[in-house]
Amino acid sequence: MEHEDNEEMRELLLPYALGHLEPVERARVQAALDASPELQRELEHVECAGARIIQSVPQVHAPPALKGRVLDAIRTSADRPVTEPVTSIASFRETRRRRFTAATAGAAVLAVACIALGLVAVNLSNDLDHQRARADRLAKSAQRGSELPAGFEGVSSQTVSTSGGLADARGSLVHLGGDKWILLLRGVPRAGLGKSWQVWTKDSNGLVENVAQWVDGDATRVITLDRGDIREVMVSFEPTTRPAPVPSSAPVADVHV
Amino acid sequence: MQRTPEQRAAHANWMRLVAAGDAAAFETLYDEFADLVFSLAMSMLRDRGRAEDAAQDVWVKVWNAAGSFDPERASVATWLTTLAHRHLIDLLRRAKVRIADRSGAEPGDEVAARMSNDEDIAEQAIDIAYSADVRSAMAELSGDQRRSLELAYFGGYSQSEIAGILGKPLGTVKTYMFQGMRRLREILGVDLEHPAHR
Repeated sequence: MEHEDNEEMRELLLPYALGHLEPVERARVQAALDASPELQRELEHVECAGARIIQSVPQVHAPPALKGRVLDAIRTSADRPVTEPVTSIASFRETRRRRFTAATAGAAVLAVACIALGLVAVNLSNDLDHQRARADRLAKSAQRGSELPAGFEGVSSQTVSTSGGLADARGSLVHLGGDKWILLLRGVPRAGLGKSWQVWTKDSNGLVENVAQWVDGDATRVITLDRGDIREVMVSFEPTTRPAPVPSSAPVADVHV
Repeated sequence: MQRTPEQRAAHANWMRLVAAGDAAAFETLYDEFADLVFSLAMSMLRDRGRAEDAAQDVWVKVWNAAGSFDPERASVATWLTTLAHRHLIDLLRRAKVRIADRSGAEPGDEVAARMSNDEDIAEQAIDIAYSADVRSAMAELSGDQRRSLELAYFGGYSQSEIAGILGKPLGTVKTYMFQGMRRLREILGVDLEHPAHR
């Protein structure tokens, strides 16, 4: 029976590595991986063979100008706000959510600014460079605790629900258009020795990915998310400083898009 | 491309420096792998402008995610390739969603337009020129095994979608992919390698 189970799991490793599994099935595979070093090695072999296939495409020289663009993008990225592990996991746990009142939500500077200024939604430019520059400007502005900079007509934001260790924190998820999002959290306490806060995104296929981790407490924590398909953003408290493969407990902050 | 142990150790060291915020190390890493990332983007997106945008996004992700690289689990080449591949698959899938939604013009619409032509999908997926060792390994597979893996890796298709494209039952496609990958691993000798030595 156990042999059959392992064989079934082996058959699921390739679609797992390719992100093809439904959340429930993906969680089953993850649980099996957690319990089996042998299966983990098998997954590494599948990923290695996949990388060999991918790397074998015909070589084309990258355009010289691309290097300048990349280095510029790195220099202007806001304090390396996002760390994204390669491992993507689909194990989503339902959470108790504490909805903030309108008064509490108003504390989120950007959300208030959007409402107070009576901004209306407009179609943002699809130019990716432009969006990146906007994301950087907004992130830096938020880190300074200032109001929205000029030219941010049309941004939409949602209030983040918090609980547990982040019960006293406030947050907003700001959509800049396209695949540019910013998660703002204010009043975040330090996670503690050997612990961290970790951010997860969930897409329309139910795929949950770990996209950022940090330890320090912050008056304002700004996390830039480059995702076109976001249905939910969550923050979990993890008993490790390394990127967790799955949330170890119910999220302490989350927002549905 | 197979790299020497010295090269792999150097790559891992660069990643440690990049994780610490060393822009010069990042530039060195870029010089080593820029062609690989761009080649993959071109092969999957088939549009130079989109490939450049996608490659730029991948490199920003590399900069931001360098701290999550684990040399015990994979080589830098494998890690970077996997990260780039996932980003490109995400782009392709979003393009497919846009086709279904029939929404207005957005970045990646060229990809969407390409993928809306179902008749071409199977042909496009097998129009991949592999390096010699992988080409000979792929030639050992049955046609259906090879097409299933190519559609999954280069087209971003799920097993259900591949079943539809090939006109085969889902269970059959699962078997094609599982057996095809197992055979590839045998031929390429992947199972004999330690991940950190790839």
